[in-house]
Amino acid sequence: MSLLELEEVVKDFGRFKLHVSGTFDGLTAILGPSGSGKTTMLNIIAGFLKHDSGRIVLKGRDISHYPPEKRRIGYVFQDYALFPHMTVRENLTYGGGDHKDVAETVEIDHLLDRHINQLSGGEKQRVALARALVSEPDILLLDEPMSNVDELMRKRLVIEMNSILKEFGIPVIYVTHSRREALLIADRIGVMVGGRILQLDRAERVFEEPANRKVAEFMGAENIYGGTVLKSDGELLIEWSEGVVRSQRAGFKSGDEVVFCIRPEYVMIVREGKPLGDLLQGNVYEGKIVRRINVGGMFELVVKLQKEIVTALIPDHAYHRLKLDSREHVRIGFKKNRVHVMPKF
Amino acid sequence: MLFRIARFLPYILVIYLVLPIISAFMLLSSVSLVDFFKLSNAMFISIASAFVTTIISALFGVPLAYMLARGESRVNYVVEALVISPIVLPPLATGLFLLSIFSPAGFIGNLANGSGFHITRTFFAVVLAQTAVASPFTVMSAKAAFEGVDVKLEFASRLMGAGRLKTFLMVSLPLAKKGIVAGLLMTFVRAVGEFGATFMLAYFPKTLPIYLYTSYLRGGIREAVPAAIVLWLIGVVVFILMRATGDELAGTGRSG
Repeated sequence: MSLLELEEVVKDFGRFKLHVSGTFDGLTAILGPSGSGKTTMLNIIAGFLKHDSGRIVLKGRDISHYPPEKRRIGYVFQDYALFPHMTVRENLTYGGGDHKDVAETVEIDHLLDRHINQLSGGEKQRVALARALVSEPDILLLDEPMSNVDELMRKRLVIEMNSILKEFGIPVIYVTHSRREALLIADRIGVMVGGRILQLDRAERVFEEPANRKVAEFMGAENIYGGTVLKSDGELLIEWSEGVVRSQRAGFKSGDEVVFCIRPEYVMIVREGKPLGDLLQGNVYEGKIVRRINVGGMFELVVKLQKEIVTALIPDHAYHRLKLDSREHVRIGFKKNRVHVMPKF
Repeated sequence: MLFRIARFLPYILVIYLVLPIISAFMLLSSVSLVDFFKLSNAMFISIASAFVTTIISALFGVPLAYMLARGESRVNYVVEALVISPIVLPPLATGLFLLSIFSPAGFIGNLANGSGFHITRTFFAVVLAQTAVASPFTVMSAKAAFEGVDVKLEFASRLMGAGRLKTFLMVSLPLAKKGIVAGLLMTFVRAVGEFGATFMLAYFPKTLPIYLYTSYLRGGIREAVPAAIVLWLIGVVVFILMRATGDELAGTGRSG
């Protein structure tokens, strides 16, 4: 039982209230905009900040009222917080514990006798990670660990960090505001907005089936619209400002106010005079291309329907085959199995 | 034209500040053996008492500074204002406040008298007076130094299993070292130069400033000049120490 459970943990700052619950196991990214309470949550788990109510249970121990030094938690700070008056080795051995294996795994054995101010950003990050792991914590918390490394290095470092963390096999909470980073590193994603975790689930699930509008927005669904369920027999028939749309999702009844979304990569360009597949039947709309953006290998098309704007992401080859650079009017289609429906708040 | 005149302004202040010292040195004549003995004695009392004061300030003032730096309650704000107040208060007034408790008529003085110990006019009273006036410099400087230590470093230490005391000794204290040492040196010079509060509480044993005052009353400027020059020299030495330790601490901040 190597996991962390937060049970209705509340911290009320007056203007801002944190209220989180959830079970954390494996590699979880907490994704949210700045000011959403991500770091506050970590600080409460680590014991730097006292929560008002609720329980924090780590590996079966209720650590809610333990001082930080008794919690068995590893923490990598955003700016690493390495002791500037010590060498790398002194930083690692500060809390006791054997640093040799960790230093080897994290590949910093050649840096052990350096001073902290002789390290590059990436090296500091590794030392901070190693330092957090030396004392064999029950969980590792990382607070935006990539924010101080070069953008170009980031992807590689995230991938490397992922494999290091997998090797240690302890639960990890990785706080970030970058969707890309979260998807790169984590098996599970928790989306945090306004002091609450709105959805905590497997990464693909949060990506494909956001729980509500805010999660959908934060996961980059982009095409998000309101509607009302007209019929719900087998598939949903939803009325929206462009007519009706069909979805294969279940769990709603007619009359329900809903929000539905379709990711830009799932918006199809429907060719004239070709029979529609089953999945597109009844989900086709006429529109005008108002903007074409080359995003590298793909084109982002902004299409204006009667009222709504739809963003579509079209691969280069399809873009050229369909001669979208010279066309103005276009028919777009939403595949029924890709139209995701959520309750309206 | 105006600028040309303005260029001389800094030099005028320098001349004004340096000239009296040169003039004092010129007044310096041979000191009789008796006077030399008295002067040495006063110098010893001053340095010894200032040393004890500095140790007391370190022992009590550094933890207080840490508490003030890390505290978040409003009470700390009030405590800080009260603790720092002797810096802005004329030392004579501080001395009077001290008399109100340590003189035989005061609460503690009375208690001490009862057990046959007179607090005023003792070496102990000199230290009491100096501590009241000079220890706030340590508190102020150390507090600023502790505030400059990233609290996340303390969190990191705690998470690695270190308790509050180990964290303080291994992380906060070494990182605030420079400011603390500067504060202690300030406390030391301020204690050596202390006159007002000492005058009220401990006219005897004579410290250098008291000796300076009494010899001036007895024999005028010429009589008092040696004591003033010794005080000046102590100040210069401490200033040099301050710069040296400051540079050293700054230069080796990473090697501990």
